[in-house]
Amino acid sequence: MLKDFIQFPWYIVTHPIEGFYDMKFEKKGRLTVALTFIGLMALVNIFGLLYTGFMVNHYNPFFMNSIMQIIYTIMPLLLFCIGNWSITTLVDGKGKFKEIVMVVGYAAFPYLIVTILNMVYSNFITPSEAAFYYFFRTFAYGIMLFLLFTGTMVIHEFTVKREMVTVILTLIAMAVIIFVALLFFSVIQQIQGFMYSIYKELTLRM
Amino acid sequence: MSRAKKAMLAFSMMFLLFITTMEAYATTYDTYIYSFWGRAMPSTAAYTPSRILRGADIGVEPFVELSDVAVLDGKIYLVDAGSNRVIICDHQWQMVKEIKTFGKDGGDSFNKPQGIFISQKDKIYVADSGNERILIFDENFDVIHEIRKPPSSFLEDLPFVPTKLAVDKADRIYVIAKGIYEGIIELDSGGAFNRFTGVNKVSVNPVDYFWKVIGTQKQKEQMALYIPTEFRNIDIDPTGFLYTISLPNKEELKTITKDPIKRINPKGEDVLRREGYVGVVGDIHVGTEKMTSFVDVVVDDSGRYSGLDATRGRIFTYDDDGNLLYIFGGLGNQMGTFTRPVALAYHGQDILVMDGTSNTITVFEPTAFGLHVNAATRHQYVGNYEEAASYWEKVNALDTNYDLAYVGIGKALYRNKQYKEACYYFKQGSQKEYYGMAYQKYRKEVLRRWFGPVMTLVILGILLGLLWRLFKRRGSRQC
Repeated sequence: MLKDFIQFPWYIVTHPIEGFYDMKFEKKGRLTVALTFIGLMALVNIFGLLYTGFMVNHYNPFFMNSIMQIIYTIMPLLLFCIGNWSITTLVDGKGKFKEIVMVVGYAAFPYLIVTILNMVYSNFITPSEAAFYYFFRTFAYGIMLFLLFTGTMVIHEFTVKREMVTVILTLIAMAVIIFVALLFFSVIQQIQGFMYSIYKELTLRM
Repeated sequence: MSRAKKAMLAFSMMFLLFITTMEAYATTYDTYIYSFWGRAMPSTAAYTPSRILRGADIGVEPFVELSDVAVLDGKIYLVDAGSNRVIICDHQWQMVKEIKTFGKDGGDSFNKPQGIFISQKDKIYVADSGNERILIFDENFDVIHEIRKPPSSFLEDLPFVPTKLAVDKADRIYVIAKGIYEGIIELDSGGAFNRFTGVNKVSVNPVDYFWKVIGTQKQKEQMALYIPTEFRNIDIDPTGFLYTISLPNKEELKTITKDPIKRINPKGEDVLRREGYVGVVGDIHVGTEKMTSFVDVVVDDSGRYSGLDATRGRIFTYDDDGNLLYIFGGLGNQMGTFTRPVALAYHGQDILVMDGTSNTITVFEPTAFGLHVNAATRHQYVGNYEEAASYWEKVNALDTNYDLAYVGIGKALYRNKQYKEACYYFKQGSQKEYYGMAYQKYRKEVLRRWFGPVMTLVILGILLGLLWRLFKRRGSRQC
């Protein structure tokens, strides 16, 4: 338990290349752990809205919506997984979808730790110290992105240059997915409206 | 008494009570205030309409088209542009004087006067717009002076149509005239032109500028001219600062006017404080609806000022920091609403609103809540934070959604060095800046209190640890 949830993730943070290598080839990581971290990330984001210190909390609790917050957290990550997987299959990436999800999960680990500590810290700051809070927040995102980068690089067995190209392509793929999804939804809506009007027509004629 | 009768009695008592409470705070609209988050929150009514006055109530012929109202020392001066007269009432709304003719043998009269101002020296200034002049009367309403078009280059071929005016302590006259874009005309006491002040800056958006640069001469002519916005109304506070209303230009009608209310210092700069949670713009989030367009502004000696909105007939009142105090009024045909509000005045604690179409003057009197807010604002303005806090507490009891009351109480606590409590109140009032200040002090106190004991414990722990190791070594040696 401790080994799975603390020790190995910490090893990944301190030695990203070797850590992810072990995850892929030594089967050290576990999918449940990765998914737990993603779930915790959503939870931490929800708590962050409510319990971040008053000085730096610019969120109106009136509009608080936990469900939406979970979606806001999980959707981008899922989108990244799908986008990355679809691109890397085209450019001969060696990673499986499961491994991409695991990379995302383990990359969320340092983000979790920094964000929780930062949340506690933010309750004891004055306006002049708000800069520290914002720095730590940026740092949390930065380290997560860095781990995502190295993680995908290792599991797909890419060089750095190739990985960079893949990341850009992944971003484009994500945009395309969003576009198609929106298109799909609007078409579905149109069809639904059409069907409903036919139904109405029929019921009124009967 | 049977049970049924008792029940009936109880019920009718309740009904009566309900009726009376309804009577006490009868407004035909919901009063609201904008919270820190910019949400319109229901708020206790600060002012309720108490009287509606028509010509007959004052004892004069019916009003035809009211245009302006001014108050000084309880005396009320009404201008009726429709019937070319000025009516003076005492504070009981009894007509003291009605001026239709004046000058030599009463041979002179007004022509569509639009504005009036009473200076501190009891001189009466009337903008006689139709006759293109400003008239100055003494307290007996004899003409002292008549100011025609100032001999200056700026009005070469334009008629001089003064609409609104204000006069400072040195008898300088600030005039708003039709079709003048250069700003407010400042005249000296003799009526000679001094300068323009408080020019509204022109803002050009870059896209339009680009088209202007590449467009041909003909296209340029078809484009809208960029001219500064006109001024619409003016008032002056006891310190000689001008409070002005800018007319929104066509571009801005689509969006919220930037700074419709300005406070202009002697250098001609806008120095209005806008520290409130929402800007001094009237209604925010109007969406696709028409935005607030102020027509009149009035300021008192405690820094409190009100703007009258013609779009929705609401009166927005702010304190000297630019915090929104309360909103009331509306458009309609019921008591407390207007058809076409044109002018606004403070009359003691009351607020008078003049309607130019239904030709009525609505007197709004403050409720207990309004009185407390006004008193607290006044005390805060002169720096009696303790006194202000006592009133803010009363306000808070009447309306727990009122952010300013929390902040006011917090300020007094902060000055009392009760930082922890101040923190609580600033947090309730969403005042981050003050909260930060109070919290810093509170944190320092806590750290000072606990530094000694905690450090003692830490040092003791280190010493014990060292001793422990020493003993351990000795023990191991003996083994």
